[in-house]
Amino acid sequence: MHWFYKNKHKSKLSALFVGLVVLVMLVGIIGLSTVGKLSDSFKTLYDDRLVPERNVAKMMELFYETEIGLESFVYSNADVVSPELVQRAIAKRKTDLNLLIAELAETYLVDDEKLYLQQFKDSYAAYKEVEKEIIRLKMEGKGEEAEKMLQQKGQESLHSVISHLQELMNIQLEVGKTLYTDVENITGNVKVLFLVIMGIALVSVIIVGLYLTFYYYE
Amino acid sequence: MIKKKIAQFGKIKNALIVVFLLFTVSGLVGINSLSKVSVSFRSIYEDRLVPSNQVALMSQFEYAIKSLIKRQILDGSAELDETEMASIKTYNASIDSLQKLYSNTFLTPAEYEAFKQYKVNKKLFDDVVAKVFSLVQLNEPVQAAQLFESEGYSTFDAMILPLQEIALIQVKVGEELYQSSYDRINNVRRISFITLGIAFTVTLFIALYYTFIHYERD
Repeated sequence: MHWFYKNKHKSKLSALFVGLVVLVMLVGIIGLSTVGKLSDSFKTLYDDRLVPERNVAKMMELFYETEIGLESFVYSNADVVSPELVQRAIAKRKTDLNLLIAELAETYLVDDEKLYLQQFKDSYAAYKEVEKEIIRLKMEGKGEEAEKMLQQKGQESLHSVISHLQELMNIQLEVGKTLYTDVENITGNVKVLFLVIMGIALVSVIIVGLYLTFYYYE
Repeated sequence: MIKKKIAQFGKIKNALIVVFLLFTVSGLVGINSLSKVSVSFRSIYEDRLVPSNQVALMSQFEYAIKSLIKRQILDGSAELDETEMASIKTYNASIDSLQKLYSNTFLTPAEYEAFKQYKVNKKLFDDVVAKVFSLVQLNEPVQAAQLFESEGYSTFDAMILPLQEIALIQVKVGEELYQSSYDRINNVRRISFITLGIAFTVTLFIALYYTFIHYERD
């Protein structure tokens, strides 16, 4: 306070304004950094959650479609559903799946997601082997064995593939929820920062106004 | 001399009021933009990501039902497998719950139409399935299979199509929301820069004004 009384009014005002500008800039820089995080959260919610959610759902559809085709092949006569038809459908699924898996792998994956994606790939590889075996048995005229394998191993391995895809879908929701909570906190914080800036401006105006009023009054 | 003092006081007072107003306006605009950003984020999560998951599950359960029915028919028995029938009932009950949850989210007009179409087409599919099961129970497996592979498959495809449309709408609307929010976030960023600029310029201006113009007074 000694400094305040000793110095002339220009020094006091200058110091006050310098203090003000430092405070406002500090608050502003924190605000800008927080807004940057907000932008990243939006990008990741769309690119890394909403789009992959759709792609995983597409993968599931592809498996069900070929499964139904395989069932038709196994339970029908070869002249009704040809093995080439089933193999073509499986080859198309492979192409589509490879694209979808590559797209998914390019997104930001959390640790659990990486794990489930790997597990999905493993179960898909196992399922492909089972499919091949079923088709081979049917083509060799071992219809009953093919049916049995489809009902047991086929169903088990399909279930494994679908459950890993299901886990991947659930993760999108979990991570999405976390992002949503984070954004709620970030927007709340930035709003507080804006209120702080407005408060600083109001308080400074009052202080400087009062100071000048008294100074000029004298 | 008194007149000059009053004039100086008036200038400073006006400058302070302008500073305060600029901070207040930029603060209010920033808070308003952030509120909209927060609403958009919530909408991407609650009205896009979560429904996308619900629609994917509906689609998955519909495929599972189709697969079970197919197996039931291919079995060739006049008796309906109780376990599989129970599974179909469980899937349908889950679909009902998901439909209710989904209809409680915000639906765009296109989404609403697609969902309505899905429900209409599901009813048609369910009617065909009921006929197929009647034929199975009448020990007419060939007719049952023919009906399912013709009308059953076409009504199934017609039922799945609107669900796929909905899934695409989620991604499209999500992208629009992301884009508009990105613009809003940039606005908040600009406002923060403007606030910092105002603080800096005004402070500098007033400090210089006092340092040089009023140097003689001190």
